[in-house]
Amino acid sequence: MDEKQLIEACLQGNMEDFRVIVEKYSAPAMAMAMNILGNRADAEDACQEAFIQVFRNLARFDVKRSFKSWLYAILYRRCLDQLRRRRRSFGLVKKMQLEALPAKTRNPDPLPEDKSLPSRLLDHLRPKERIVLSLWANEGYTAQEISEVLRCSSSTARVYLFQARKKIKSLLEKKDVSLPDY
Amino acid sequence: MFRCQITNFFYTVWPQKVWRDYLIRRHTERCPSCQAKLASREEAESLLINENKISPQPSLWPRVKPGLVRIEGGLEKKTQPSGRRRWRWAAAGLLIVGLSSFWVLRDYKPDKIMTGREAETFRINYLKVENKPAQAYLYQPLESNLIIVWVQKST
Repeated sequence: MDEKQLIEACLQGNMEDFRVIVEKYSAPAMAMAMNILGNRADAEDACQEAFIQVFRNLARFDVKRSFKSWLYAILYRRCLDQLRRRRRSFGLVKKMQLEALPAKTRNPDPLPEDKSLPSRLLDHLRPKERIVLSLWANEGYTAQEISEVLRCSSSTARVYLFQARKKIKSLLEKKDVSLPDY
Repeated sequence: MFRCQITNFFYTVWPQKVWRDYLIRRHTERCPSCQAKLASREEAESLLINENKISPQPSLWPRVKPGLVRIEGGLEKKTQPSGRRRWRWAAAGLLIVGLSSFWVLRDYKPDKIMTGREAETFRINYLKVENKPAQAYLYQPLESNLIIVWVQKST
């Protein structure tokens, strides 16, 4: 069953077909969300919300467009929501932790790098730059396709991509980071 | 090299995306020296997570399903865009309000509106104070026939 048929079956109310869609796109969606959010738990939340929104708005999907790009566009919005939520709660949590922990545990040793997470270098990029880089490097998207996900002009997408690539290159050169071997 | 510097200068000076895009397409994408200052696809890929690097593989269905079950009852309705439904309800509401207003007001004749005697009108053509043209203001208190004419020197 191809994608179009799956979507039509979902619109008829067949939840099993939607399960096929979720399973098909879980891994790429998770990878995308992890690249934007930097951790698995938040990425899972964002993906969950995105798939529910996809199901709710499936009737509005234009079958002439790419389903994956549409999913990514929704997922990107949900990731931004997650980042906003995180920013709001971050200050409070940090304050509570500092007050609750004894002084000597306040600066714990840095954790060994988790290789199933994106590189910390990506923290230096803005979310827009991270998704642009991810779409370009992982999915091979062009500026035009990226602009459809970001809902901006292709000029803007090209500029974001340029900035992301430039930042990454300069960080790699500056810190002389040896690329992680996954 | 000189062209690269010029391009960089103009890129920094004018931060408009269309302009920057023009410079990128016009110069950066074609210039090997500028391309060397950008991360390659392989470099970027090695920093990113892709679907094959995720372990354990995500199983999102158990998390998604309860959310779907909540909206499943409305699936048939869901297939219609909610925006269109909202407009239909709004149009129906307006129609009902319009018809009932017409029904209620069709025999209504307002009695407070002056239909008989129209207020008399007058016009001041020319006013002078100290032999100079002056400004005139008319005041009429509510529900009164009294009209006050205030004249002042124009400044």
